[in-house]
Amino acid sequence: MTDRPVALVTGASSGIGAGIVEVLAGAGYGVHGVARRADRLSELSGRTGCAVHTCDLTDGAAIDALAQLVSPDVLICNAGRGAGFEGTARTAIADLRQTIDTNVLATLDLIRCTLPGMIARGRGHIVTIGSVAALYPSPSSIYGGSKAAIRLLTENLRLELRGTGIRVTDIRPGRVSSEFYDVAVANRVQAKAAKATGIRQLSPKDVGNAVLFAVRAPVHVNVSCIEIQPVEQTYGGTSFDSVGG
Amino acid sequence: MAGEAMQSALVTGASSGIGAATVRALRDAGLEVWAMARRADRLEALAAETGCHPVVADVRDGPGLEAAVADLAPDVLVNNAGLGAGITGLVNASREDLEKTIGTNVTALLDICRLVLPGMIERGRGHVVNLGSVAGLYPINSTVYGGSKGAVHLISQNLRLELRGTGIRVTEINPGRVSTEFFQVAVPQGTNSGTVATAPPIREMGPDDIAGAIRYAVEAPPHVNVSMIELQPTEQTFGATQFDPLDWKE
Repeated sequence: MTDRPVALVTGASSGIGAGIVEVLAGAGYGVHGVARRADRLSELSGRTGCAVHTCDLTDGAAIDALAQLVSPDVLICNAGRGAGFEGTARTAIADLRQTIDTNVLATLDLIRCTLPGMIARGRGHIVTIGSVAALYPSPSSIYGGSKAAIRLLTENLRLELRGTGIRVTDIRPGRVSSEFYDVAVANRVQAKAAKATGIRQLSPKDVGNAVLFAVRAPVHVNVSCIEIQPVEQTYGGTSFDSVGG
Repeated sequence: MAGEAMQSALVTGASSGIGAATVRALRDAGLEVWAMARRADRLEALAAETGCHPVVADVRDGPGLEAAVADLAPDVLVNNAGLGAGITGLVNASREDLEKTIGTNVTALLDICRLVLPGMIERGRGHVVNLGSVAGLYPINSTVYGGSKGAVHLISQNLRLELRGTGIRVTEINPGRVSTEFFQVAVPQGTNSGTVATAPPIREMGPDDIAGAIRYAVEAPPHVNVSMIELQPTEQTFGATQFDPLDWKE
């Protein structure tokens, strides 16, 4: 890598994405933040010194343009959203499409457009922000399904990229304090209830530090997965619910 | 957790490889460290080098283990002791190989957790770090060893659930190929066991790389549980479909 490695972070305008930008900028990376909200990006740029690109990643032409503009050493695919927490049967097709398109399709598309440059340069690092929802059953089939796709696409990508020196990392966080549920749950009362866990949640910077640990590992080491949760969050158990009335 | 950083650790399998590197890393991080292994001479050298406290014990010797940990109150327990007897295939493995591998990697790990956890629960702080393996996640020609590390994977996940509300953290570290004595111990000299023990033509990870991951998890802020880190040589991958039969006549 050059003396100032370049990192491209999607979904940078808030939450985990903004946390990653802050941590990487603080660690000396030349950071490019990508998001749809120009005003938020401008504020982030003022705070961290990152370059910003206003871009909707579900627009293929916009991804092409972005890939022409920036050749990152590290690509951090963070842009994502939730849906379906009120039940798959109650979820509008528009929300379903936008979730799969943002979380899965746009991630694959951006990786597809970024990889040729990385392969040509003989170095690169793809980082995805997956989720514990990819590992354990949780209340959204749509969101969990989308993140499970991320999990297996990163595992396959490592295999596909063997011999290129390109590294692939999937970070799988548990509950993080962010706007996630404000977007994912339309009903204000239910969104507030979903956020009220009563525990000390992860901060976006905790996730940013996990990304930093992976990208800073020596080049012969591929940290392929970090699963990180609040101490007070666990998964599992079994339920017995009778179907009879 | 009381919002405090971890201050002491007990590391098993500390006389060499990942264990010794972990002792060094945690001493560098300022922790008081008890280093457990069978080989007293190696532990003495490590103690002279790092200032750790040697604990000579065999993790498979139940009463000996119980006596060895009776007076220790570590914040962090690093379950690193492990081996790969029988790694050349179940059909080639002796019963002794099974007893060694399952007895060390699974039974002894559960036993030491059982002995150390009550104190952690009472003190309201603790961190259990289990050394798993990519062999516990992917099929890589190691039925016995992979099975034992697959058990460590689900032991770690269930332990987190069992310990919810206690503040005790559980981390699983799953490394790929590391340059250690592992294969020299796992594969008996002079056996016609294929190429499993031959160092591959890649840059392997060193014990320090794994110790660095352990240190990252141990030094995470008290509200954060880094529950799993999987790390491999960049040049090692897993998977692909096999259609070629194993040559049993070999």
